[in-house]
Amino acid sequence: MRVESSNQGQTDFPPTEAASLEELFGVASTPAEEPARDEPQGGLATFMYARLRNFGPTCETMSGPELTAFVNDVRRSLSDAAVKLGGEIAQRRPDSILCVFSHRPEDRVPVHAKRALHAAILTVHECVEIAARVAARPQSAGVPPLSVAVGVHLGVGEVAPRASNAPGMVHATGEAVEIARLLQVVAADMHWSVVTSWATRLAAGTRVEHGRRGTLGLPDDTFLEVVEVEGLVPRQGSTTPASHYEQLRESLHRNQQMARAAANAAAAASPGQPQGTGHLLIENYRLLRKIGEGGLATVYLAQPMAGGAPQVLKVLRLDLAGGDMDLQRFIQEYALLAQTDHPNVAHIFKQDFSSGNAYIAMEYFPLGDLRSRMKQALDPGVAVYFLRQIAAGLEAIHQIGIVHRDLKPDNVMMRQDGMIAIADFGVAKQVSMNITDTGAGDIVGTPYYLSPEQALGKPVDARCDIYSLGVLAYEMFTGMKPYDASTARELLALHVNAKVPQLPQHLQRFQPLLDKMMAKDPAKRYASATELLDDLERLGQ
Amino acid sequence: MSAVAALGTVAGFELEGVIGRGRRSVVYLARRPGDAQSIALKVVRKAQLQGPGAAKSPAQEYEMLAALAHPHVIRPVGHGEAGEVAWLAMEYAAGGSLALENAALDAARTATLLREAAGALAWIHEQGWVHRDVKLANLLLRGDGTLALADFGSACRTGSESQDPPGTVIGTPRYAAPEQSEGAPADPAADVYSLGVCLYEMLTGRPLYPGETLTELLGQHLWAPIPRLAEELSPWQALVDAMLAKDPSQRPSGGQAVLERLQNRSRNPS
Repeated sequence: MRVESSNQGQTDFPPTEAASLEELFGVASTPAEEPARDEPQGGLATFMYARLRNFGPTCETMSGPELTAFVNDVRRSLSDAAVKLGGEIAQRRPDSILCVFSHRPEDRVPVHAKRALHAAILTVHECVEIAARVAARPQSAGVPPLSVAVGVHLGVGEVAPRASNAPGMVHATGEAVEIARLLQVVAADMHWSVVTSWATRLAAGTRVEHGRRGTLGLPDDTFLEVVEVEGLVPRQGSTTPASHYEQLRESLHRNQQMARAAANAAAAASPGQPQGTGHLLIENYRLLRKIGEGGLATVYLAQPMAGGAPQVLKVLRLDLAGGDMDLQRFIQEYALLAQTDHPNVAHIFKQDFSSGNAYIAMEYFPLGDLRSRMKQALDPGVAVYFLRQIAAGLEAIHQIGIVHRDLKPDNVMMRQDGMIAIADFGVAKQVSMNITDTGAGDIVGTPYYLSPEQALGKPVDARCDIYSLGVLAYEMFTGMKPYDASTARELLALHVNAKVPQLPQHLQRFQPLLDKMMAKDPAKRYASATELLDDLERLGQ
Repeated sequence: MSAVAALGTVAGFELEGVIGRGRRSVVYLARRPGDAQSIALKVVRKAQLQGPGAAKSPAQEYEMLAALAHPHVIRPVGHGEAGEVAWLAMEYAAGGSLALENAALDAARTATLLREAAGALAWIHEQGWVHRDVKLANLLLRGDGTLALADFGSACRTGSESQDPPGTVIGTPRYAAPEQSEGAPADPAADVYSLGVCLYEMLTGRPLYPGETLTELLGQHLWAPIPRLAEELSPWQALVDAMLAKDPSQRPSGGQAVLERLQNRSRNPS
C-alpha cells in the first residue's frame, strides 16, 4: 500500500509522532507489503467512516492559497492516522473518509478493530487541532465551529482493490459499511466524537475507554448496542507520558463541545426545525425485543444497562409526530404519571428525549393482563378485590386529570405479588395508534367496554371510565359480557339503549353498584371513583 | 430508512428532503442530477414487501398508477430497486397535501377540490378499483393548484374480500367507512364515505368525530349522529349527510354519483 505523502510541514502540535505507534497501541506502524488481490474479499473487517462538520461554511470564508492549504490539511488529518495504522482508503471526499481495516497475515490475532478505533481517536485529535487553528482566524467569527464525527464498526463487508490508477484505494461495500456510516450519523446527532458498536469495542481489547452507551435501532428492525469512545488507557509498562493520553481524551471532549456548540447555533438559527435524522438511539437501555408498533410509537422490552428488572419502553418518533399538541399531551401526561406513585397504576420510571425520539420507560408485567384470568366467573371475593384495586388506580389518575378512555381487561396488568395495576392510559393509546395515519395492521377492539357517550361522540370525562369498569365488573362476576352481539353496530346499540343487565340471584347485592356504574346517563353514574370505593367499602362491612 | 437517508442518494436520485413518512415507507423530495424537475420518491424496504399483510410493492403501485392515468390522479414517473430498497418515482405536487391546511376552506374552493377528487374516484371506480385510503393527507395540490389523488398502497379491486383478520384497520381510522373495518368486501361507497369525511373537514377545519382512541372512532363512525354544520354551511348538509350515511347503500354509490349530486347542487342551489 502506498500512501501519498502530504508535503505540509510539521505542525506545531504534538501529534501522533509523540510516541511510536508500536509503543502506543502494540501494533506494527508500518504496513507490510500486501499480496496482490484480485478477488473481492468478503469477510470480517473493521470500517471507519469519519466526516468533518461545517467544512463547507469554513471553506466559504477562505480563498486562494489559504483555502488550498486548508483543504489539504483536512485531507491529511482525515487519512494520516488511518493509513499509518494500516487502513485502506475506500472512499474519500473533501470532508469525509471511509477506511477499511482488514486482517493482515502478519497479525497473529485479528487486531483490526483495535487499529480502527485507535485511528478514529487520532483522527479526532488531528481534526480538533485544525478546528482550533481555524477558529482562531478573525474571518471565522460567526461561522459554526468545525467538528468531526466518526463511526467504527466491525462486521462483514466486501473489499476489493480499485483499478490500477488508484493505488492503495479499495472498494468497500456491504452491511458493515452502512452501519459504520450510520454510526457516524449517530455520532454527529448525539455529539459523541467516536461511536462504535459494543462488539467492536470488545474486540478492540481493554484499552479503549468507553463513555455513554445505548441501543440503536437499525433500519431492518434489529438492534445494535453502541458506545461512545472516550479515550485510551496506557499500556502496562508504557513509557509514553501520561499527558499524551490526556491530550487524546481532551481532544475527544473538545470535539464534542464544538459539535454541541454548532448544533445549538443551528437550532437557534432555525427554531422549530426537527433535530436529528430519524434513527432510534436509546441511551442506557439494551433493547431486548419489539413488543408492538403503531403509527407513531414503537414499544420495546428493554433492560436497563444499570441493572434491574426489564422495563417497557414506548418510543415516540418526533419526526412523525404531526401536531405538537399530541406530543405536548404525551409529555405532560407522562410527567404527571411519573409523579403518581400508586400501587394500582403502572409505574413510570422515566420519560426522556433521545436523538429525535421521546420515550417513556414503564413497568413490565411478565404475568400479562387480566384477560387471561377472565375465562370464567371469578370468585366474588376476588372480583371485588380486583374491582377495588382498579377503582383505586382510576381514582389516582383521575385526580391528576387523566381519563383512561380505553379501560378493558387488556389494560389491567397483573403483578407477581397479586396486585393489579392499570396501564395504557390517556393519550398513550392515541399516540401509539395514530388515528390520522394509515392503520394497516392495527386491530380495532370490539367495543365491548365503550361508554354510550364515547360511541355518540359526546364530550367525555372520568365517568366514561366508570362505565367501562362496570362492564368489566359484570364480566368478572359472571364470566360473560353484559352486552354481546354479532356486529359492532348492534353492540353499540345495546350500550346506548339496552337496560343494565341483571346479575344472577347470588350476586344481587352487587346490582345497585353495577346500576350506578353502567347508567346510560353519565349524570346518573358514580361521579367519581372515590364514591365507588366508598360503596365498595360499605359492602365489605 | 436512516441508513438510506445518511447515504443521500437512492438509485441515482439525490434526496433533497423528507416529504412524508408512512408506516412502511418514506417519501423524499428527490432529483436526478441534470433533471430540471424534482420528483417525489417513495422508498420502501424490500423486507417490508414480504409476508402476510405486506405493503403493495412500488412496482405494483406503478403499474396501477400507469393504468389509472387521469388528470387528478398522481402521475407515476418510474420505479425500480436499489440494494435493500424498492422505489417509486412520482410527480412532485409542490402545494403539499390538504391536511396541511388546518383550517376551513371557502365554499368555492371546497367545491372545486371536491369535484376534482370525486372525478378521480369516478375514474378509478369505473376501472374497477377502490382506493380505500382517501384522506386529506392523500389529496395533494400541484403547483398550479389542481388536485392529485395519491397513495394507492391500500387500493384493491372492487368486491375483493379482505385478506386481513377481522377488526384489522384498513385505511385510516379517522376517515375509514364503518363497514371497512368490519371485513366488508371492497366497495366504492367506502371511498365516498372517506371523501365525505374530507368534505366535512374542508368545510369546518375540524375532525368529523372527536374520538381519540381506535375504539372510540370505530364507535362514532358506526353510531354517532352526523354533526350539524353551522348556519352558513347548511347548503352542504344534505350532501354531507348522504356521503356519511352509516349504511353504505344509502350513500352515493361511487365517485360518479358524487359528481352528479354536485352538478345538481350547483344547478339548483338550495
